[in-house]
Amino acid sequence: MATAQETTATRTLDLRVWRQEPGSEGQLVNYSVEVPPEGMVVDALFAVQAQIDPTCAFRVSCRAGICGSCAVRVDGRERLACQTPLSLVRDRVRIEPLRHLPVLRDLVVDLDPFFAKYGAIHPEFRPRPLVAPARITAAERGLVERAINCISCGACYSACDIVGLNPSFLGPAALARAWALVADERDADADARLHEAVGENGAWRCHNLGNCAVVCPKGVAPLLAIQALRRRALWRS
Amino acid sequence: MEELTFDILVIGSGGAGLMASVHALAANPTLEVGLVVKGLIGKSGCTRMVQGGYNAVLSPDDSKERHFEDTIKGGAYLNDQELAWTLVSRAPEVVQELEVKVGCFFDRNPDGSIHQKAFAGQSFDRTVHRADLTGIEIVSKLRDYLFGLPVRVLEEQRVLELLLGSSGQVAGAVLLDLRTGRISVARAKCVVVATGGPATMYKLATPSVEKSGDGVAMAIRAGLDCVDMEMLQFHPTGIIAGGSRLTGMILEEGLRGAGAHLRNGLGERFMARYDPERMERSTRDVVSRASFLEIQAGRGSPGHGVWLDASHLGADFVARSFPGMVERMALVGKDLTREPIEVTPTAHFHMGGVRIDTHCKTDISGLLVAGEDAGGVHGANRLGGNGVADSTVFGMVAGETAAELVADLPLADYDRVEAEGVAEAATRYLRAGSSPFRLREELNVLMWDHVGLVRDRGGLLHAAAELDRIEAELETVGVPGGRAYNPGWQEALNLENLITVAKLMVASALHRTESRGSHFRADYPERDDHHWLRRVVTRLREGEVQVTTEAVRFTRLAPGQVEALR
Repeated sequence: MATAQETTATRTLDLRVWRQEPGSEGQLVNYSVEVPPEGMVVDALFAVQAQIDPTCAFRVSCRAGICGSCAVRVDGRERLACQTPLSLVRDRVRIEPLRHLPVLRDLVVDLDPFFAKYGAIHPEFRPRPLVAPARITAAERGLVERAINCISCGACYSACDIVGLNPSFLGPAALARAWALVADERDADADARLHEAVGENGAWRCHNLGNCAVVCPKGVAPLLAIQALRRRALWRS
Repeated sequence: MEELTFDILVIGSGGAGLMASVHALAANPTLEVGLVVKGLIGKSGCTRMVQGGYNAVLSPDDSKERHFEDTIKGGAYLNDQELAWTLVSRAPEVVQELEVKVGCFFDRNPDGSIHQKAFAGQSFDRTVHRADLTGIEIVSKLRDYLFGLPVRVLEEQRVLELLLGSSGQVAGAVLLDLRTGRISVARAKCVVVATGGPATMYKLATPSVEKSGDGVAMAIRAGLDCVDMEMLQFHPTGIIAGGSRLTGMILEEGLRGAGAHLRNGLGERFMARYDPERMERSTRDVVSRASFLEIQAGRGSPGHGVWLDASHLGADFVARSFPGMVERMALVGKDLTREPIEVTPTAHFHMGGVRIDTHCKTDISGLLVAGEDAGGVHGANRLGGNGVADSTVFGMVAGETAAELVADLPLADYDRVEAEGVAEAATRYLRAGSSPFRLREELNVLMWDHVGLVRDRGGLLHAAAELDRIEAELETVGVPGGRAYNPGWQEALNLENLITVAKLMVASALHRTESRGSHFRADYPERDDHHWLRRVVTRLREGEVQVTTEAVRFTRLAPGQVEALR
């Protein structure tokens, strides 16, 4: 039986994909692939893998903008490959790995430095003693609503020029998570977290460039979280 | 070969694997726990992808008995009733724990209490959620919670094979590091298998792409019994995005729960022909098959689907209640709030799997199985909202059992020659040869066409023969390009596992000469309670699939009782 995926129409796309073997220098390599016109950037990468080179490495998992595995730079801008329609890109498009992170192979970066900083703000919830789920009002919820949408894809980390200039800066995603916990009334450790988040490599290092908010695929706007952390720290002092 | 040693090795990092790790350490904080993650921690697996929500009894007006009845009725009485009872009776404590201990933020009612919404096939609105993207909340927070625990995370590694000791008990597993291609052995007193199911063997499918039924395949090769392997659920409302790999992603069940209509190409609400009472809120098996039959009869939409229409619910309501779904459709140029959307059935969840008891134990000492890898909880069809409940509840149970077991279990020795053999077999693909991606496409089309929503003897026999051919052709596959992060190599290994699982699915489907739940035989279209209140049990012996059946034990509820109660 015919199924929904069957389609005859394709579009020819010229890709320039970053290829890099472990331990060597990388370069952009040209590929011409047939892609479904309704597809996403990730479909173009699947096409390279299926039509030309099965070793072309990129991360992908959910293909629904939920897992944040497939963040890459498309024509220089951080995006989720599975959420960037090919209808929005030109016939010649450049795909490169995230910045500020070591390349493992091709488009796959080592996220360990990113998660080391994420871990440094102690992202684990430390609850106040509660016996039942807390009653949470809309106003309380509104404080963290944006920040809890983070999928830790690393797009903001790559787009942040301060991370590039100052490798010890915690970066936007870690600080957004810190804010989600600082503002969470159920968390018992708000003061200690705040102290850490505005510490030496924390919120005050941000220069308000706002790239993080521009590239975030989930509308988290880490810059707003960073500003909220600073505001709270000032009020506390 | 490098060796790591743990008390407990958890394979898989979806809801089941994360909860198993958390609960093993909650029971005994001194345990050494290793967690094998095929992708990135918190980012791989399907619990992450849960949209709709989590079924749990929280309201005093609801009851565990009702949740149980809904689950058994939804499962067409094929469920292992003790497993189903474990699910419903422990789901509330997990929701509580996720909120209070792990820090999840589920949606609230205006008074600040937890909101529960309507899902199909249920007699009470009991689905806990965070908007329409509930899985992110659960898995992200569990991942964050793990930062505070001494779990050794083995990221971007897969398990090639389980290792057994000389007296048949579990001894560990052979691991492959995707980043470096290095192969090592992880020894453990207890192993928890929770990798997720094989629905990715179908042309249109919902799960994350790295899933390949690894856990079930390894358990099969280790000789364990599987149950209900013919029961593979198709979700009725997969999106259509032409030739994109996004085709088959789901629009969540809550849309039908909230009152969205399904129409065929003629504009008819066709569910009136298949389930006039429940209409669109019928269970997934019924709605998927109805859609499929409409499409097959030439009454489909232009894109080989049917129409899902939520526009009459009000654009504001849809935008507020289903923001993730609205966003998903906007990406492919459609407005869910104002126009009908073309949808197709799509392979979603495997009800079948390894036979376990209520403690997640298997016939192999020290080997536990939890989540989608296990069979029996959902019978012939799973209710929406019971999936994430399954993975988290049984993950918790497996963690508890594991912590208890390792107090008495010694570390078993394994056969080094056997481990070397596993490594050699896996690395044989690093040679010149044909593309694994082409062969994968053949498998996916085969399963869709012949082991899909409507089956018959001829098609299943054809599928069995074709599976043998595809397996033979695997020997011509080659993926040069080195060991480090080589996706073609991983695909070849995925194919091995999917073929292993598919063989048992086909054998089970051939054996069940009736239609029940997700399993529909065009040559035996009726449900046959007289002969088939039995479960099909399959296992691999000397490379051949053995099939037997056993009667379902109605330990709590007999067929017809739910209907009589209501």
